[in-house]
Amino acid sequence: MEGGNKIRIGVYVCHCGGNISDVVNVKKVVEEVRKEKDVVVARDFMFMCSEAGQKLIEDDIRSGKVNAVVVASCSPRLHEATFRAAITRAGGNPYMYYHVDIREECSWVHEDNKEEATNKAVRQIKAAIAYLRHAEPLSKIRVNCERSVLVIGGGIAGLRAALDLAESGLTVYLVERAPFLGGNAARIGRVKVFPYEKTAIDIVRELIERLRKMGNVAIYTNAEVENVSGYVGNFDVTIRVNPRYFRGKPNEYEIEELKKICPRKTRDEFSYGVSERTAIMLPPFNGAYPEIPAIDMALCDKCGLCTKVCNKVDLSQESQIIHLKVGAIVVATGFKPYKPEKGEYGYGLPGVVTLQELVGIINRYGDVVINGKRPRSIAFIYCVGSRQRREEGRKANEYCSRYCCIAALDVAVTIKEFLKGVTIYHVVRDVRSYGVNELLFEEASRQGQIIIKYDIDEGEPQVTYINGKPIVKVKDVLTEHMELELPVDLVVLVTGMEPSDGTADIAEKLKISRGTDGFLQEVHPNLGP
Amino acid sequence: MAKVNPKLIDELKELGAFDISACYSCGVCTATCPLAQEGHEFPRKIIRYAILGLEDKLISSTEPWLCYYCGECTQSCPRGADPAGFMMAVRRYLTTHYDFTGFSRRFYRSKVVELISTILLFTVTVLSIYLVHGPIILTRVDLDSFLPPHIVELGDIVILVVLSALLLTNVYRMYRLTVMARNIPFTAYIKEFVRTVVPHFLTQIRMLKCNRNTLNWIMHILIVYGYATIFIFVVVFLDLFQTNVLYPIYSPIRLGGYIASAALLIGAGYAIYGRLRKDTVMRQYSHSTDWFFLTLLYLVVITGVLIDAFKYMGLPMETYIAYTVHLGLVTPLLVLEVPFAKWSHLAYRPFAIYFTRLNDLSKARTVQVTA
Ligand code: SF4
Ligand code: SF4
Repeated sequence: MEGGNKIRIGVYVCHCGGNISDVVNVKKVVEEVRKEKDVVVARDFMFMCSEAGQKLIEDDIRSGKVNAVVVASCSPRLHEATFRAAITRAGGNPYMYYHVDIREECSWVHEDNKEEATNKAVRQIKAAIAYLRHAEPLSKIRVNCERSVLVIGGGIAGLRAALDLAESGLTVYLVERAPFLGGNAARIGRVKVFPYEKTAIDIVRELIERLRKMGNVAIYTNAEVENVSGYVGNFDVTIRVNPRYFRGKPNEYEIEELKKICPRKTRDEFSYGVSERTAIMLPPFNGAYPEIPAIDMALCDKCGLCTKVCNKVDLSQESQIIHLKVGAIVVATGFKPYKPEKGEYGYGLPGVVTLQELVGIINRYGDVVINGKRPRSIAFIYCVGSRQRREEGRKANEYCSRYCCIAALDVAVTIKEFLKGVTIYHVVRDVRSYGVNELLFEEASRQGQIIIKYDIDEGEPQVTYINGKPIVKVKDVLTEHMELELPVDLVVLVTGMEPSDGTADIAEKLKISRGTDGFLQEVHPNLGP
Repeated sequence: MAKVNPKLIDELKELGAFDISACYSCGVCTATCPLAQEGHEFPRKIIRYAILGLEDKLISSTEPWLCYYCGECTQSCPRGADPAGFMMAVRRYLTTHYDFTGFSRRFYRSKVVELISTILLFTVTVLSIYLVHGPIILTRVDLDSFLPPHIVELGDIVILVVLSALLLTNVYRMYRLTVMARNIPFTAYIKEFVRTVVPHFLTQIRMLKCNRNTLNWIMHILIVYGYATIFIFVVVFLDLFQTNVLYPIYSPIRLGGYIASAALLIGAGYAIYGRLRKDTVMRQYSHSTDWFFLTLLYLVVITGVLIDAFKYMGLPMETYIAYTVHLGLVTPLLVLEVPFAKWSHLAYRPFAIYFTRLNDLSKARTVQVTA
């Protein structure tokens, strides 16, 4: 601290009810730190964060006793802001402050050794005192902020965010890794999504249309974020836009030719692998953006056949690097569906598909057809790839995906509308169709769809294949734990969510944290609403 | 390993279990049921059998007969699944399954069969009376010469024997389907029979366990005893009952007949009134066979009363016609209802209590042995 204005430190130690004082001897801590040089006040209080507790600090500052503060209490996450505000109110400098965590970092973790815990708390506070001796009173500064936002991910969340931001007048850069916008929602396609009376594809299409009409949005597809630097309000972002290998939009005739010409084939991710595509990726739905095809270079072997039917193909294009300055970044990198291992609940047997594959079938054929026939009975097995148990040597998704129950019910209700006589079993652990989605459960149940509940402790449902039919064996908790045998025409594995492939990479580049489940960590809804 | 039959639920819906798919298995119905007890947790358990299509489990259950349709469960069901109506539908279903002739099934599933078989039996009876009747004396009422009692008696006996045989075979089939007990001493069979079938047949006392059922029970008793009285008169005392003699009003046969008829009229009338008003859960939905039974019963009683009235008024032709119609209606009432339809419950209910008891005893013994 500048000369003349000598540092006068006040130390305030909190009991936190008993959370701290049951382990740490608070009185002794106060006695110890009082002996420190520059400490003019040392007090303890039952709840420092209470109004009375804050007032202690404020009074000491107002009376001129204290000009630097240490509070030793809980983690700074919630109450650092509280005490800084108190200091400001009393006319002190909120940065002449140090928040010591002697609860999470001390009392809670050292219950077994009270004496050492007390010593540790003393050492923690002494360190804070030492810090304050060297501290400078800071003041807030203003920096300019770019009035533009980068949105990473062109799925339904990214589209929605981009539109809202653009409508509020900001410049928006929307970056999508795939060649076309739409993400998972577009693939759900013609299935109506509850509770909207619209199909998923209609919702996506509408968002794209509105976004394209905005003058302040730049959309980059086939593009990736390469690098991010800077700070809040002023980020420098580098984007790599991969070439589409097309110079413009081919005409209808050329599109027809392009569909046939390419010999390189793979499973089409747009139909969740139900159908095939070639290396020439055409706009997957009406109203897709952009309308220009893109060539998948990982698959293409540059045979050049396509250049003969369409002069807009340009295999020599190179990727472009773009530099942007943005004030904020929205990460909407989304999810990918869990892919069961071969043999997991019979996956790989004929007549066993994932929920996404079923959706792919419905979109592709406008009907449910399995081995050339419409199924008369279907069993949905829930929680595949969610709420998994941890086992040695195997990655487990322990979380509930919180959407698949609802998605499965939605698809089942849709199917029941066009396959009238079909019997549908839901083999569940629980049905978590919370909130308004309860109505969906209601609808399914009124349609006579049957819920069978299994207890994971009694074993998972088994899927076998006998006489050309999958058979699900399951112990039903609701029927005296009886072992049931369901011979069905189709088994649908209700697969959960995993973070999309780019998530880890983006988190690394932006230095944002991920939960143990691998998903990006949002701000805690209670601590930073 | 239990196999499921997805068609089962459709069959039950046809028999009156319309809303049961809404059930989400919360168990509130079982919790509120005054008759459910440990080991016999209905209706939820039975609903599960039905929804999953566990046919064997359903057919081997006695619980549907232990339910007396008070409607408590339907009133507390949060899903409006009408479990009580469902239990009634299951009883119809079971009735069709105990019957080995398969006729019951047809009868319950088609109104056409219901109607045709009634008309057929009516016509056959009237025709046979036409063929065997004696001289029609129009100067005075002479029932004995119109239709000599020994002929009626013969008809009575034939019907009685055939129907009892049918009903008892059905009860035996019920026994085979429901009783798993194989290790109880013979004396226990007898003892339990005396303890269960006899008193419950005579009193239907279980009905009173549901507090909503007191009035229903009284009406039910009126029908049972009204009917039993006439039945005994017809089968045992036909000579005294069907007669040309004009009894004074206080003679036991005449007075008894009146009281019994009044009881039947009140009992059946109450049932019909309730079903029209749909005032309680139990009467919300009436299967066509319910109406059929009540209408037939009511007509039989009324024609019976008419015979008596015409006789005492001295109207011969009217008496003979009323008698013919009466018998024409009695035949379908007995032949269709007792072994094949609603009336069979007079045997199934008490026997269900008996069979349940046997199963419980056997389970208790097994536990003892293994313990
Ligand atoms: S949402 Fe449903 S299916 Fe998905 S993990 Fe949760 S409980 Fe399982
Ligand atoms: S019938 Fe109704 S009360 Fe009974 S279990 Fe089903 S939902 Fe619950």
